[in-house]
Amino acid sequence: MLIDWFTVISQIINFLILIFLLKRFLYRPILKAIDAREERITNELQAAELQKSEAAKNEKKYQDLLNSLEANKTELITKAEEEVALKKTKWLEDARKTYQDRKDRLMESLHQEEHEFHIDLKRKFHQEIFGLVRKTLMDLADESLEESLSHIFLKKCKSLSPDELEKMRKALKENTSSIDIITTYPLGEPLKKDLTDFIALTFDQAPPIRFIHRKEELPGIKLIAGGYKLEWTIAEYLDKMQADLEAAGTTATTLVGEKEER
Amino acid sequence: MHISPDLSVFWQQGWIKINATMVWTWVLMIALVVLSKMITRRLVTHDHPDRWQVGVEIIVLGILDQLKEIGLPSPRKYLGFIGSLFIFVAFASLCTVFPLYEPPTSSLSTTAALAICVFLAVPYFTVAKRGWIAYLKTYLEPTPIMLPFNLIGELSRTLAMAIRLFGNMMSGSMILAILLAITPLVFPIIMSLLGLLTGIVQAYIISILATVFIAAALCSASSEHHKKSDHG
Repeated sequence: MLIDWFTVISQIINFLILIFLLKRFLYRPILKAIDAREERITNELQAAELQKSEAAKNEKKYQDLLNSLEANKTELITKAEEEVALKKTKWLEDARKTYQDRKDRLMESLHQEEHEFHIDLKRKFHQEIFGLVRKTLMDLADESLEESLSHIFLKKCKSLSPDELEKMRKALKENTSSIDIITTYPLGEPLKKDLTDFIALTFDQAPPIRFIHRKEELPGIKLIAGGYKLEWTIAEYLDKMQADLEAAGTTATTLVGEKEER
Repeated sequence: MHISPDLSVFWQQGWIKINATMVWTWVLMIALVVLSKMITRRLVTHDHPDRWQVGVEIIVLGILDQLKEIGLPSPRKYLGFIGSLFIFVAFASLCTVFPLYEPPTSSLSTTAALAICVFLAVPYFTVAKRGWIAYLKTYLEPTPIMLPFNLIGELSRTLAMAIRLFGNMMSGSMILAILLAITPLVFPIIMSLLGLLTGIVQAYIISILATVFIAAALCSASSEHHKKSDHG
C-alpha cells in the first residue's frame, strides 16, 4: 500500500501549519508593503495629477495673457509712439520758444545798447565838433561862439514873422506858467536882459522867464513857450554831415566789395 | 531505492511514526519560514527594494494575477491556501538539486494529503461565500439524477490530482536514480534540469486545478443563488 494514512493526516496538518506560517511570515508583510507602496504611488500620482492640472491652468492663464498682450501689442506701440511724438513736438516747441525768447531779449538788449551807444556817441561827437568850432572861431576871429549864437538867436526872434508871433502868443495863452530858455552854456547877463526885454515888448502879460542851463542838450539855444518851440542849434548841420559821412561809407564799402569780386 | 519516502521510517511507536516524508516536509517548512522571515525582515516601501523583496513580490503578485484571471473575484482570500500549495510543491521540486534529498511530494501520502486539502477547500470556500444550501445544491445540478455522478466526479478528480502529482514527482526521482545507475555523469544533469521544469509545471498545474475547482464551485453556487433571487 503506497498510502500511509497516518502520514496523510500528518501531512494535512503540516500543510495547514505551513499555510498559517506563510500567511504570517510571507503574504501579510509582503502584501502590506505592496499596499503601502501602491498607496504612496497613488498619492504621488494624485499629487502629480493635481500639479499637472494646476500647471495646465497656469499655462492657460499665461497663454491667455500672452495672447492678450500680443493682440494689444500694435495698439500699445502705436499709442506709445503717438505719445512720444506728442512729447517730442511739445519739447521742441518749448525749446524753440525759450530760444526765441532769449534771442529776442538778447536782441532787444543789443539794440538798446546800440541805441544808447549811438546817442552817447552822437552827443560826444556834437560836443567835440562844437568845441572845435568854438576854438577855431576864438583862435581865428577872436569871437565867442556862444555869444555869436545868442545874438543871432535874438536877431532871429526879433525878425519873427507876425504869423509865428501869433502862434507863440496862442500857445502862451493856452497853457503855460513860464517861458523856458534852455542853453548848453551859461548865458551872459546882457543877453538875458535883451531876451527879457524882447519878450516883455512882444507879449502883453508875459509869464516869468526861466533860464535853464543843460549840458546834455544839443549845443545851441531853445525857447519853449507852452506848445511853441523856437530853437537855434547846430543839430541840422551835424545831421547833414552825418548823412554825408554815412553815404560816403556806403559807397566805400560797395567799391571794396566790387573790387574783391573782381 | 524506495518507491516512496514513506517507507524510510525513522521512528515508530504503534501506528504513530516519523518517516522521511514527514521529516523532509518539516525541513522544507522550516526553510520556507526562515527564508520568508529573512526576506520580510527588511521590507521597504520606497522605490528601490532589494532583489529578494522584488523576487518575492513578483511571485506573490503573479499568484494573485493568476487567481484573478481564472475567475476568483477577491484573490487575496485564496492566496494563503493556493499560494502555499504552489510554493510548497515548487520548493519541494526545486530542492531536488540537493543530494540525498527526497521530495515529500514523491510520496503518494503527501499528494493525497494535498488532494484532500483541495477536496475540503472547495466546500470550505464555497460555504464561506455562498452558504451550505447553495453549495449542496451544486450536486443536484443540472438535475438531481446527476447527484451520484457529481459525487463520483468530485472523488475521482481528487484521486486524479493525487496520482498525477505523485506520478510526476516520483517518476522524476526514479528516472534520476535509474540514470545515475546506468549512464555516465552528464546525462542525469540534463534529466535533473528537466525534472526541475517538470516540478514547477506540476506545482503550477496543481495550484491552477485547485483554483479552477474552487472558482467553478463558487461560480455554480453563485448562478444558483442568482436564479433563486430571480425567481423570488
